[in-house]
Amino acid sequence: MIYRIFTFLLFSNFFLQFSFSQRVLIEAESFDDPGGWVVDPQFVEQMGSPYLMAHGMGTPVANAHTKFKLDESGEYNIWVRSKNWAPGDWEAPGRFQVAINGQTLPETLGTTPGWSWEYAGKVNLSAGGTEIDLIDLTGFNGRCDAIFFSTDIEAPPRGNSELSTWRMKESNEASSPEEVLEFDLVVVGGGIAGCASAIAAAEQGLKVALIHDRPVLGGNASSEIRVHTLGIHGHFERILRMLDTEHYPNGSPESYQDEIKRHKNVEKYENIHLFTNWRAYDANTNGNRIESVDARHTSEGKRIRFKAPRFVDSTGDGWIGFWAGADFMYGRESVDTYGEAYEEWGELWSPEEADDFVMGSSVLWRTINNDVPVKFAAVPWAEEVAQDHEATEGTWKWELSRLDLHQIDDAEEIRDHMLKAIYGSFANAKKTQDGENLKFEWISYLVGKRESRRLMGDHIFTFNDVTDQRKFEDSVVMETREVDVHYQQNLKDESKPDFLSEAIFYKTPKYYIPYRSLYSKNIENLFMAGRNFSCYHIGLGGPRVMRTTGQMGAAVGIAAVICEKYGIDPRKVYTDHLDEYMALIEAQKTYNTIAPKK
Amino acid sequence: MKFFKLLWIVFFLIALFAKQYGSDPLFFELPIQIHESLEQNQVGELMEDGFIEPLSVELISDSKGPIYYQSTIRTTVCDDEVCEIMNIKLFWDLVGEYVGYDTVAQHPLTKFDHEPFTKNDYERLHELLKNEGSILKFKQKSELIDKEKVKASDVVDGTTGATSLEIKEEVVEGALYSSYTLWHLAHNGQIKNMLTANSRRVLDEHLIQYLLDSDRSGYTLFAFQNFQEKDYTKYKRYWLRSLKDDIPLTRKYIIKNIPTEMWRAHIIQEEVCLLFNFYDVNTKTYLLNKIEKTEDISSKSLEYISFYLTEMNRNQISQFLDILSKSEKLTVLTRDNISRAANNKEFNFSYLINERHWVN
Repeated sequence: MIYRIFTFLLFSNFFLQFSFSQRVLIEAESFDDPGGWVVDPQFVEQMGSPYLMAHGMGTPVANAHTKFKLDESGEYNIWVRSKNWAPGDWEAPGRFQVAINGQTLPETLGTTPGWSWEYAGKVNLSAGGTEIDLIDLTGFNGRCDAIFFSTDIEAPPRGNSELSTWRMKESNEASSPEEVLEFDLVVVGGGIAGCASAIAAAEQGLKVALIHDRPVLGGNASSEIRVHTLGIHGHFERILRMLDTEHYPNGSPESYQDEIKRHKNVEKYENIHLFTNWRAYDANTNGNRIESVDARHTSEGKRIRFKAPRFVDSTGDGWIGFWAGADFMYGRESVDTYGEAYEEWGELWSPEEADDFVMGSSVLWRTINNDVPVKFAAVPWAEEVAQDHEATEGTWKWELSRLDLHQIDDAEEIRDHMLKAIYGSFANAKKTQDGENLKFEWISYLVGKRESRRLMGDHIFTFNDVTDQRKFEDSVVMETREVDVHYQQNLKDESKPDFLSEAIFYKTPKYYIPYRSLYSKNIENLFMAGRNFSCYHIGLGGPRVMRTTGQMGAAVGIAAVICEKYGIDPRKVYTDHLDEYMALIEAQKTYNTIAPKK
Repeated sequence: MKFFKLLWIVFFLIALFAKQYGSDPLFFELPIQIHESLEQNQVGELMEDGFIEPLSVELISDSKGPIYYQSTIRTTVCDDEVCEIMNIKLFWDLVGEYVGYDTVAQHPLTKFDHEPFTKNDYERLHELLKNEGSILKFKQKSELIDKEKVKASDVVDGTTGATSLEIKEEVVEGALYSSYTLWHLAHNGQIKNMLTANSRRVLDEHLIQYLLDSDRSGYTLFAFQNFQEKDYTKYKRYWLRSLKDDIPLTRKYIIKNIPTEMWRAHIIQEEVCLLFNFYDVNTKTYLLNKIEKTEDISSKSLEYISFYLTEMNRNQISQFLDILSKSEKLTVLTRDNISRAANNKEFNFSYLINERHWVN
């Protein structure tokens, strides 16, 4: 059994007391038994760590439990890092308590706005086995990042940068991972694009690491988010059919079937080394080249350094490129910058002046009708967001973009805002005549993003590439789907809830994306596939759906094979080996065997 | 009950018949009395695939100027195999938004097996056409029905039983293809562009005033979009009123487009900032962004905003505190407001102020 329990002795007040303080930091995500709590690693870059969350949809979840060995007896102060995610003039929704060795501490936690260390109390503890329980009181998304025991009275630091240093010190963590693994290609992000990339490269014999921060593959198409895949298969029907979904309604549990198919298909490749529940946290560079990517297990805390000659960033948020110093874009370009106007839609399509009003993120959800009436707790903290909106399910229109919210930096706030919208709209539906028997079947706790960072390649794909029907000599992705850009409904009608969006469709014949949009312009050995490919805001509107991003992934996987064959970087595939590359792309229609393990 | 239903149908048919003699349209959202003396001028024609003749649009004006657009349309309504002719009159406002429709004399709308539209069908059609976000926007004609459930029928719109459930809820029952065709006419981008281009062409002082006096958000936004720099001075009370009361899209447009020279005047900055609490969340952020880029922002403007510190969200507070920290001349009241917010135990984000060790 692996504990992320870090103890060390601190020589404190030496000249006055000649005493040692005892300190133990326990990361909640590493609990032996999470009970009904879920591990949420989505916001590590913003708040510092994965955390446990009581996602009970209004019903308190089973206790999370762990055991650790305390070296010294003493009177310990206990702090819990938590957050009141809906502060206001009401009881905090995500309240919980901590029990030590079966004794519940009186303090109610999850009540302080912003991530902070809440003081849970003081306990006399004997050396030896010590047990901790997290007791959820509400079922409404209480969250616990870590628990700190100290015989000192000084609370841990609150600020992110200070906290990060403190955490490393407390955990006695070395600056680099202990384990180093080497591959031909490292793919970060196990959405449809990442999976397609891994398969395409593995089929041609490359040894591939596929790193993904969730237990299941598929990203937005997974059973955890449940968006169906749209778009066409292009050259890669054979590969993409292993990964895509049926056209079921978004949010449908039918996504489980497609997920089983997806896993079966990815796992059959012996040379795809699958690292699920591993989240990349850094890219180590030498000049303009990435030498390795470091990843941490989302619950066990172990770290691995992944070395390879080439890397694929299919993280969606462009994290690998961001850490490596790749040029990137975020936001909406002004309409005149690249002439991307859609006259009748004006500002809603493309702004006069560049801004950050990108397409928003969704959180899908479903309800069912129970045989007997089901009670649902009052949710005063959700009323401000939901107002009088009634709903029994979430569709793609449940989307949040706001000028003050960054889709990466503020993703937790976006998720939480959507949770308020869901709980509040459901509570309103419960009050209706037909609502008595309604209950939640499922609410995602993962943010389904549409748009975030876009890494810059040698070619930046724009709306003009669509409207001009440009064919490129390196067209590796094709699409017929409409360019589909969203805006928030309340921009045109302030009475509409702020969590509902509307779509603008630009219908178009087939258009193409060149290979040059799929590798970084300034990081020499970095590919990108997925929504973080090289495009402008409007350029993203069409090809952001998952069969199209899957095509990008497959195209990149095959390019990596050419790179490996000649020992070259991605750009050289275009400049020196394009004919061979395009021939290999064409051959994907018929290629039907799995290459032997390298 | 049956009697009342019958009575209603009789009234409705009489109304339809009476229309031939110049009565109001069936559905018309603008507060305008339509009468025979209104002037009609052809604006242009549009020909698209599926039209049997060019669609001609007219601008309707009263003695003071333009008031709306209309088109009497004769179009085909087709499924994969069968086509029928539909006659209808559509109305748009001066910025190309659908505002109503009317039947054409001798041509009531019909549906499955030529059954005439009921009152509910007519009303439902209007509601559908008003819905800019209708699901019909996202569908190709081929996606309207579930092919596996298609029943044989020799008339268009006779595939109701096979209509996809999600679409069925948004169309006139039994008139699927008519609903689809009409929605795509009412919200046709090319028509909208033609109409707005024409309105721009005929725009004069009277029309600007007419648009600004209107309570239609599309009208005020269109007026501002066609302002010349001098108009910001001339119509100051109008754009200030819109900042307070209009839709977020219009507010953003105004704040972005206040002429640079005018924005430099402290009095203008102050008038805009004084309205801070009326703004929606996006306009507030947009204004803070503008202030951040403004070299000389008046201390009074910052003071006005500081009164609403506790109404801001997390990122806005951080942004506003950044702005204040760069300002060298904060008023006493601004400092008091910050101090009060920092010490307000009811204020959820007081920690953001306290983390900065704000010195009053």
